[in-house]
Amino acid sequence: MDVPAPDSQPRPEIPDTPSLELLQRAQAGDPTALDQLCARYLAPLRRWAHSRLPARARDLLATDDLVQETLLRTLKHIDGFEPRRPGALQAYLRQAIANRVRDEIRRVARIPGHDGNEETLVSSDPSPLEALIGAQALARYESALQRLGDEERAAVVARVELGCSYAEIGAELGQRTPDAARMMVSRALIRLAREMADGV
Amino acid sequence: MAFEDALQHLSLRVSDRDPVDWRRALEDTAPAAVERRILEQLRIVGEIAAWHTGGGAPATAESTAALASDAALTAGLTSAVSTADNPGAAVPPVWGHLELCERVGNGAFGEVYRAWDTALRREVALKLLQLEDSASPGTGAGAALEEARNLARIRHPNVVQVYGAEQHDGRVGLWMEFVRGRTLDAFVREHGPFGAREAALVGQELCRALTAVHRAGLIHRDVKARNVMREDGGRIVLMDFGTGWERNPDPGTRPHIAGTPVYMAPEVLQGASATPQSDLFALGVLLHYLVTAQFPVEAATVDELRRAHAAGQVTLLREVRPDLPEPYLQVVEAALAPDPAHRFASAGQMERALGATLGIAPAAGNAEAPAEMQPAASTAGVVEPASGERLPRRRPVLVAGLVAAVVVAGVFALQLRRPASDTARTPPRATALPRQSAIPAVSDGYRVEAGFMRRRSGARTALDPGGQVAPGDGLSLEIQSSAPVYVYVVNEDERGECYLLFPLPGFETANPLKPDIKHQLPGRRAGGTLVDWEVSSAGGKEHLLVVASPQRLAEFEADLLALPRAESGGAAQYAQLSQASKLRLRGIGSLQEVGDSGPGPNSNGRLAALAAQLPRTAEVVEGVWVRQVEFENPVQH
Repeated sequence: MDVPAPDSQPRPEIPDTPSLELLQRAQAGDPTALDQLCARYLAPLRRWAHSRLPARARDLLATDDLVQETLLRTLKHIDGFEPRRPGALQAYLRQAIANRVRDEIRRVARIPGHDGNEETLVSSDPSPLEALIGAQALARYESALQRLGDEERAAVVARVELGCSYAEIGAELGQRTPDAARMMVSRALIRLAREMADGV
Repeated sequence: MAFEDALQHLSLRVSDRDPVDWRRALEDTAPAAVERRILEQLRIVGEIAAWHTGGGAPATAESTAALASDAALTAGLTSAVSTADNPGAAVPPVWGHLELCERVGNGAFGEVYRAWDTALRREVALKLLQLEDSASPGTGAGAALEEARNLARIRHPNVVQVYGAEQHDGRVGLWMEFVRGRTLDAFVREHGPFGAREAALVGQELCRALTAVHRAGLIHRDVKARNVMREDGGRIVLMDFGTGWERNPDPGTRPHIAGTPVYMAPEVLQGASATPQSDLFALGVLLHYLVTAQFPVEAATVDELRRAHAAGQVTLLREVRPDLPEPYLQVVEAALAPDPAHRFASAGQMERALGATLGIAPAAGNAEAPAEMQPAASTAGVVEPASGERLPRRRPVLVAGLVAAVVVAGVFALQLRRPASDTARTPPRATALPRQSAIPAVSDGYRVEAGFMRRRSGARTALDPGGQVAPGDGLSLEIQSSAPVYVYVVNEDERGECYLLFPLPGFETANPLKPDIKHQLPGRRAGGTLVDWEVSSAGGKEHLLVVASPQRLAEFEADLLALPRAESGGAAQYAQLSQASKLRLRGIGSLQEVGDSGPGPNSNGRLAALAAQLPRTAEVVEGVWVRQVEFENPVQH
């Protein structure tokens, strides 16, 4: 017996294929494309879920299992999904995981012995990210993010929250080179900081 | 620099995840109030990015701190991490066989990168050294490579593992395991002082680390809170030997003062050579710091520090934390004795003394314990409890379980040391135990539920005992306990070859496992990739032994850690083999042929006598839990 048989390649591949193209191939039944999408999104979505779940919920849930299961299920049943803007797939996947987390928190809240107060569980227990930068700063960030254009928002989320490489961002957002993607992210960050400063 | 230029420069650094000295950025840019607000928000975005990238670490400086040495008098108050002095420094894409992913820190020594080892396909930390004049003592390529050679001698779970060192493109670099986690200093600054029990547990792990370091003939010389990482998953890792020094330098060579002054023993500050006792002094400072967030001696300069030591101006721990258990106070005070002869004789002795804090007695009649590990309470000023005096009464079930576990460990160790052919002929003898094991204190009953899972063609299903596996299958163990437990998993094949399957170095999933969470072993690599054990060959049966204990079984673990471990490179090796070869091989770690003589003698009857079969239902147990499971692994024709 030997270790390991990775769920996905330990190093995310530098993609030449845009995610939307992979998605279309996956929707057409190409299992390789589905694998590549999983490999591309699993690790960053796990990091994202870890940072956003309330600490108490993270103790209750096997977060990684939850993310993996949700990602696989979502991708396998994504036939009806039609991306209408850049970064739509990553946003769709994040939303799917957020919904799954919410369901799980509700389920846990129904366990006998629990106080049953879903709001308490969710709101009184800050996520690690909230604990780090403060609820107000995080709210300011989220709010400013929504005021960015679609491409800018997708670039920020991909780089800041999902930790995607510039090559991945370029493939996702139609930039021809990683350096072009880097400059795009930089400009988006400046715009984001200005928007956040307006909210101070 | 104009504000817009500075803003673009800083946004690129945030995007590149390079550390930023924000205070200096503000000072240099001298922005107006509105511009200052923008920079402040960009800093927040940088923190958010660092959080996501680091998997929990709040800032890049966090991981850097563990690798950077600094000479700040009060470590933790001064950030030694900044690339502001070197703006725009390009990240070279490759160095030798390593692909550089991102810079995670820098300092006077050079830079640290997260990198990808293309040969062994694993994530590593690369320390690229900024060499000084090679004529200076202790510097230059030769000294750096010497440092790496010294470090590579040490293999211990509590010591960062150095993989290698080379010189490329005029730069010397050493690469090591990439530890994801946080420094103890960061824990104290963010969460406040530790409790005595938690600090004592950390102290014991560091004692074990120092025992390994000292036995290799080395002195660490820079034990401090910023050089100790708590890896995600709980492993305590002693880092950064950048100032390491041979125990026996050439006669007449005057050692240079290196390390962090506030942790330095008084004799080292006066110019004496570092010794194991000076490392233990530093550990004493660390244990003081962990429970107080203060240092026993505070000073603004090294001269002040020397004078404070000479005048005995040392803050006793009992003055600051009189609430702590007396054994803990005594350990710290003994470690901080001004005269090195009055400190602990060894790290092992200090570990035993910390055990008293935890209510764990030393092993009775530990014949193999070196003389230096015997108590020296009269000089150290630590009063050890009489045997059994402070221990809860041992229950037979615990002893039986523990003895079984230790006997099994002995079996494995014996097999490992025997030539393969000998192993195949002679069943192992449980009487030839390499050592006795310490008996931990009895814990209350706890609940364990465990079961194996098989992944085949992407589908993951439960695998009951007696189930069938085949090459290419991924196996994992799901285990959940109502209490924190240390779990060990060993695989034994028909030939009696044993491999340690868990815990594995470089994994986020590590002992002790948190309670009330279903863990999947072997778990997650540093970096987040979930892995399975891979069935890499066929023929016969796979026997797996699972041991769980609410307390760490230190000596049992030492035997287990001596077993060969399944390596990640094995899969690649295996993949290159023909199908015919795969069927003739047993265990990628050894690549030894089975031949046509059929399976060797089955030593597993002994295991069966020691351990119950693994059920899939929850069990309530006390003490050590030992279970075995067997899977059919027939040759596929």
